Amino acid sequence: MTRLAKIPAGRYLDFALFLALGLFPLTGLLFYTQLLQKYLVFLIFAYSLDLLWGYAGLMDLGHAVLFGMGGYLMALSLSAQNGVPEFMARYGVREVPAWLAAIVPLPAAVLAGILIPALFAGLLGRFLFSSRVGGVFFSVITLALAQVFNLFIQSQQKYTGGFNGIGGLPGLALFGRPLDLVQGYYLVFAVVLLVYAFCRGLTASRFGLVLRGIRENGARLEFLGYDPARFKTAVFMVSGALAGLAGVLYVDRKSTRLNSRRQGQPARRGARRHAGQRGRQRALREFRRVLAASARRRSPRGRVLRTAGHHGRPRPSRTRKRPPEGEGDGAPCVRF
Amino acid sequence: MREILRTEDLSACFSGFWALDHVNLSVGEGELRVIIGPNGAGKTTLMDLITGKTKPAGGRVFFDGHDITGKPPHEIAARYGIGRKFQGPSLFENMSAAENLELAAPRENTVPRTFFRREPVRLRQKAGEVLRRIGLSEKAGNMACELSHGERQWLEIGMLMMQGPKMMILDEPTAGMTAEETRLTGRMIQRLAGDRTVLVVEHDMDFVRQVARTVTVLHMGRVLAQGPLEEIEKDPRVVRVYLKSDGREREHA
Repeated sequence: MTRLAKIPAGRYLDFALFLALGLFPLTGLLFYTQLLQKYLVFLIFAYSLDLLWGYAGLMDLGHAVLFGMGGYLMALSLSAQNGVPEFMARYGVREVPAWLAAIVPLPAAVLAGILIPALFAGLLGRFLFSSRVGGVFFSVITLALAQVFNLFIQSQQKYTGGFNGIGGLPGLALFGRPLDLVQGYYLVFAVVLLVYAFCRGLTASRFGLVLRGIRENGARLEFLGYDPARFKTAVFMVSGALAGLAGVLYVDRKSTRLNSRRQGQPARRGARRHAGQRGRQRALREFRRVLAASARRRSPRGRVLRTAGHHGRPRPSRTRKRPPEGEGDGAPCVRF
Repeated sequence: MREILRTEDLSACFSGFWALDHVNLSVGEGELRVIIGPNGAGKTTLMDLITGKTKPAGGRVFFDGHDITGKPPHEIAARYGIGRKFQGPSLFENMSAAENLELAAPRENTVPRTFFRREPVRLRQKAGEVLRRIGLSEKAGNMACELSHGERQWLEIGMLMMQGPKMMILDEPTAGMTAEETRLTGRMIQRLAGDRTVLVVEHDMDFVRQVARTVTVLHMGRVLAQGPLEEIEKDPRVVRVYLKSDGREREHA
């Protein structure tokens, strides 16, 4: 019978916050505008999680999977705008695969980035909730799912860019005109307002009341004639769609890399995991090998090649003559 | 009187222990039936089987001409119209009393019927009316967890009033209440019984005397006796297993 703490939040605070966010680009602080844009994207992600966790009490520790799906779908679409993306070509992909061709038109990519996470969440919810998986077990399963998704993305380096992610994406254009930084900010801001209104409307409706009922006492709801599994699945789908939307918007930057890490680092990280799994000796050998390789890759200016230049477009380099590991037999090139 | 609920050889088994052993029970429409029995007699298990919380090991449950054996709780509640008040009570703690009642309203309880649907005004009005009937009008905005034990019991009875089922099952509605609260609850339940069937499990014999017409006594998972209260109180078997202390008290008095 613990009472939830009262948080000083409400419409007025929200309104003030949105006003501040709406006026911010007028300050002309472009760096912070760009930063805030990213935070706005995370605001959508937070709304998505709040519907699921705050209202229905379902703690999804793998919510980033849904976000990532939206992000990857959008990034893949952007990377394939001018034919086969460079990171795919490197693995001998000659033409754009059919599934990728389907999401090359940007509206299709946005739609897919929203619907596929929603459907995935719906399918997962259908199985989990109708077999009465709830509470901490739901959290643990979703946490495991996050790991599975992570491994999946890395193992499909040919199509996802693996550890390196997908970089060098063209900026977003609306009606054929590329958007500048402030316009991009307002585009995201407008979506945030829409999502906010959507969430407000949904939680104020009877659906929101039922969601809170699920959080408070899902078992009791059944005896009032509700099927909690259906409501949970429904909110999981809505939440998945919003998380996917956040992922889609997250990609909209030239400087964004989905798996944003510096070159060289991922390989080292791979080696570290390796140490945990197979033993120190091999990890050390691997580490030395990677160090040597990254030293070879250094450009004359002393900068790491792949992040050199503004748009991170990988330049053809001598090192690429050496085929990436595992390419020969077409196997995915992840080293753990 | 038309029969509304019938159980045929209803049995429940928990890892070898027969909590209910071939229980045959028949309840008429509009009846107020009280079920008594010592701890562990299977009273709550019987409620669980009727409302679908537990699946029976054998036997069948018929309600209003339909076989509802083993159906999921939400279907039994929504389609067949059986409402249940839990021992304890079981509420939505961090929601206001009014919201607890609104949630209990029937019909608007599927995803398409709630998704982006506003609460109908008549629902709010009905909730206000029920709040008056259970004497919680002034606490409509209080969280359920802030109410006193007696008020919580009433709130859950109020939820059943909102739900408006054909049959109400009340599991110990007066547990933890003062004598005065118990009397008020008894009157509330008597008023409810007029237009619908009520099945009450209770321990408090004063309450049972106040409301009961027909009493069923359960003992060790079987129906020990059934009949009008006066007969039951004189039945030597019932006195032996259950009413012992009450009997002695009467002798002293």
